[in-house]
Amino acid sequence: MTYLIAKVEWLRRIHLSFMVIVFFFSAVLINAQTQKDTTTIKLQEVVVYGDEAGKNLTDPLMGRVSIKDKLILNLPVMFGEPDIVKTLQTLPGVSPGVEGFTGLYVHGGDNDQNLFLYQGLPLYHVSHLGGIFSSFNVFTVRSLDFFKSSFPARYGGRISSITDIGMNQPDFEKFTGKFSLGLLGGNAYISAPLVKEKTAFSVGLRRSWIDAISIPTLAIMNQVQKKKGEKHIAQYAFVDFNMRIDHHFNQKSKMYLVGYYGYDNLKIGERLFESREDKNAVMNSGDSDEPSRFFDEDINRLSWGNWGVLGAFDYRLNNGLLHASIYHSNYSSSYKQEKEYQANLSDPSTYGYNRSHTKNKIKDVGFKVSYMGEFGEFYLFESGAGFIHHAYLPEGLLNESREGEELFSDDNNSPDVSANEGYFYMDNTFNITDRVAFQAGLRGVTYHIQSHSHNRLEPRASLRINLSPDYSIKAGYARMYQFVQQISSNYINLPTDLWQPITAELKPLQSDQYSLGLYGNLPHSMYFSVEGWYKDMQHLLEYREGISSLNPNLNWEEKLTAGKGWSYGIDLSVSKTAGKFSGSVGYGLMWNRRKFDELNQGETFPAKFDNRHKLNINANYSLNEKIEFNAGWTYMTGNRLTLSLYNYDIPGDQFPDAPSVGAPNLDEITGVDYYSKRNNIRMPAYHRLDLGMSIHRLLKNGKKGIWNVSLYNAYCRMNPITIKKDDVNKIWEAKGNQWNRVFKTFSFIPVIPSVSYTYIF
Amino acid sequence: MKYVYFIIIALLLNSCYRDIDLNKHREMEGENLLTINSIINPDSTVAVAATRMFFFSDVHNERVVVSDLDIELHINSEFIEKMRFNAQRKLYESVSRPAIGDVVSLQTTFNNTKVQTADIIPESVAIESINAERQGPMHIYSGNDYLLTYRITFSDNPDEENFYFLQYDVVDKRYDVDMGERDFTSEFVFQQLAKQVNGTLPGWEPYSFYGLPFSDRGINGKTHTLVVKEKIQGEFSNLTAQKQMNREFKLYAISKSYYNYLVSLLCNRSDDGGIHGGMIDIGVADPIKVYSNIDGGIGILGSYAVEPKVIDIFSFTGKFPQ
Repeated sequence: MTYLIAKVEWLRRIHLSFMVIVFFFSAVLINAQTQKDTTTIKLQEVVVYGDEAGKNLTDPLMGRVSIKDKLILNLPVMFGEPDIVKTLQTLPGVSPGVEGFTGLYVHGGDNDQNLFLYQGLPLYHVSHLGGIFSSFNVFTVRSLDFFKSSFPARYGGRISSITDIGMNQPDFEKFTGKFSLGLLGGNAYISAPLVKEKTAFSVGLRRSWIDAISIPTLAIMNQVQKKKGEKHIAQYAFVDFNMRIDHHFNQKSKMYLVGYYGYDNLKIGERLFESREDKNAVMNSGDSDEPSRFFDEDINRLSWGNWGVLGAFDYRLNNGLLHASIYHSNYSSSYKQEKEYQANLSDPSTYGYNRSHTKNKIKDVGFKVSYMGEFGEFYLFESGAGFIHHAYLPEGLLNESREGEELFSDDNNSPDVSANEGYFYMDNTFNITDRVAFQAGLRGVTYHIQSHSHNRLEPRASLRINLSPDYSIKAGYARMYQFVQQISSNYINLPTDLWQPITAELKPLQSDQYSLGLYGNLPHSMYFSVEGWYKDMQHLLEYREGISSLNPNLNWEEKLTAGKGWSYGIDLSVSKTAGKFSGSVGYGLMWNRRKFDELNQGETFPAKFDNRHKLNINANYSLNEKIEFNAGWTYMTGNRLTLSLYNYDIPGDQFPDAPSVGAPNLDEITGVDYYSKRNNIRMPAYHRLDLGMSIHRLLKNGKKGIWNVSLYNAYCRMNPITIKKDDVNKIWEAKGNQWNRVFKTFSFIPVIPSVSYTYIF
Repeated sequence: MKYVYFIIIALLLNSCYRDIDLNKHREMEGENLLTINSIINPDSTVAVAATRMFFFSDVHNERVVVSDLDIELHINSEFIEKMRFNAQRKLYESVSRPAIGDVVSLQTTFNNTKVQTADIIPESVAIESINAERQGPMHIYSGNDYLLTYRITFSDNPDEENFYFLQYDVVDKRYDVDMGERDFTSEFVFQQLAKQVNGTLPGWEPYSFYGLPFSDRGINGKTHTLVVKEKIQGEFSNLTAQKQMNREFKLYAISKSYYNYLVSLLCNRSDDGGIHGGMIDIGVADPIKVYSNIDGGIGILGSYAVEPKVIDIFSFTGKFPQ
């Protein structure tokens, strides 16, 4: 009996153990299964995490952020203009550069190391109005994928980040659209079918109307100034135009055509001519009935922008997608300074001019074919190849002057440079088990320029291991190359900074990035990520020091010097995307260094945007269906700059007979600025609060109006953008004169309220 | 409501500039670096100014002279003498006088750091001829202005890279017609200078009260005529009162180091019309370091040679009409 009871007990325990084990594995399998779905559902509590949380946990790629159009539209920004790049600036690991400008410095990289693809069309210098607005019309944007740590092998050409912007597909059913009016510009988007369910188009147009205000204002001012013989000229406008036409052949195949045009034009100057006082003076002198007529005009013209077209064809196979595309992309910038004069309109010999013109151009023509296939649940394969022909005008300089009959011309155009780039890639994603996924990719590039080829391989790898249904760890590695660079000696990205290709004399920029991270889901529809990263950069380019003393006829390559950089840090992010209250907190910790043999006496120095800490808090609260509040708070350790702390004497009046160009400052005693080390000073910390409110109004026939009111920099913190030296305050004292020399911070962005109205139909 | 407006305006007009204390960034290097300045020529003995740098926001009303240095003068690698400090002029002075073509070098030690520099005295260049012509009265700034055009001819030595500096000025302010505005913009060599100063961002124009440097790029080995101008405003000048209008033309031959130094000073003038100067002024552009050839220190050792020429403008143009 005892034996039987013991045996039954043993069996019971085995059975219980077995049931526990079965239950455990079932739970794991159920959760593992649900991880693969786009919507994650827990057994006891129905919580829909959505795409973002799922991707955060399961996507083997690290540092990938997918942003929907709603987030871009809701973020309170300067002048109320939604801006893709400003949205990206709020992410951890991304430094915004100088306030107000759409700079993007990702994981310690520079602004020109970011590739922007607009539905596959590459664009250069993506900003309007000096960077205050980005080049992308958010009404045309459906989605945005931003990569900063790991990169799929299909992307290449830049070493810091990829921003892949997906356009809205046109509406195949009905005529729809949006109009928006803001303080500085207007935005329109319409979409309609041409053949229902077969062919449809969409068009987006955005234009500033600063000139609509400035032109009549200046006309009034100039009417008043006319008697003084002065006319002021100032005009600025930007426009961007997007177009898309889609045609569905059948359920399997479709094609689309995309067009983009975006340009800025700035004109500023003055014209002087005979004034009423001149006329009166001459008439009173009795020398002549009419004063001599003359003019003296000084005009600066700056224009820049992109245009491009892309045609693509998609064919859906049983378990995959075949894609082919062809495109033409064109970037140009131009700066003209013209001084034209004639001292006496009756005497042609008094006519003259000085003109200088600087140009920079890039034309890309490319095509690509790719295939993406899913083979069961365990293997995803993507492969492709492409070719791009680049035509560069790296530096076009023309100086012309005329004095009467004498003409001087100096055309120092660098010759056009052509390059051919061919590439192939493949990406393999293995879901080895339910817990482990591994992505291995390879991209090969050959870049042929000036009878020289740069052949490079770019390995990519990512690993994801699910520790539990709610936590995973990931690791990644990526090598990237870049064959064109925008060299700048400024802290703000200007269109006058030249895009210049890598040549036979210069090596391609290279980055190797290593990443490791922990990802997880939290209660209440929240998820988090903690990513550590290290990036090594080689063959970075800067202008050589002492460029002023170099031969102005030097080839542009000879003005440059190469060096290296490295950066490392941690990106932490917590997000909540569901419910009435949503938002995110992002924190980035970073170190960012550079070393050039020919700069800073060969010593290591911090990069300009070595922002040690960065904290972004974004919040969105939907009070009800009609009213939404948004807020954003940003804190960042200050940028670095090169500031002269000490001054030293010039020869000056101690050598009175020596030739001199005069003291650089008002006072000889102040002397000359002494610069010891690059980026030696850190600016004060930066912080800012933005508030916004959207009021949705349902109108007749399903139409909708949205009022948006926002306050940029709500507590008016005058964040300094630079530090300068001020020595103009002279204090006269009984014992002698004394200069009051101080360091001063310079700020220029106060609180900026804005309002806009969007009409959706 | 008025109170609200006042707050808003006060906020908006909140100073864009604010003082900041950077004393915590004082550097050992800045406190201990010696400044050496010396501009030498074959017509005088060698003089050297030795001073210390100063932290910009410190009270600093006169040069801080270093008077206890042992400065050695070498000419053509041969030690010549130790220079003596003249307390009245606050300069170290030599007894010897260098000649054209001499390599002059200075050596000293300051705070255990060896400081040395060298430069070569260029050969002077002769002005072969000067011609002047006058236009006006015409409108430049007012209806009673005159434009004088000067053509200065000289020959460049083809065997080497040459650097120059042009200055022209009134001889005697008591008796000569007042100096007008110097205009270098029409002259090719100064357009080359403008290209160099501006880099790829044009905007700087060759105007100067003091004169301007130029190089022989584009005129190497040639006989070249410099065309420069002087704009005289009739209402502000003593045109008819003065009986003479002498102008002294100085075409300096300068050393390469001194040329680089002068050009780098021009590149740092943030008060010019160039975009880069403007951006340096508000602090959003990388500054351009002023050139220095002092090893272990800072400053400049430059050299020049000159043969001035004086002409009476009225001998070419006649006097100004009454």
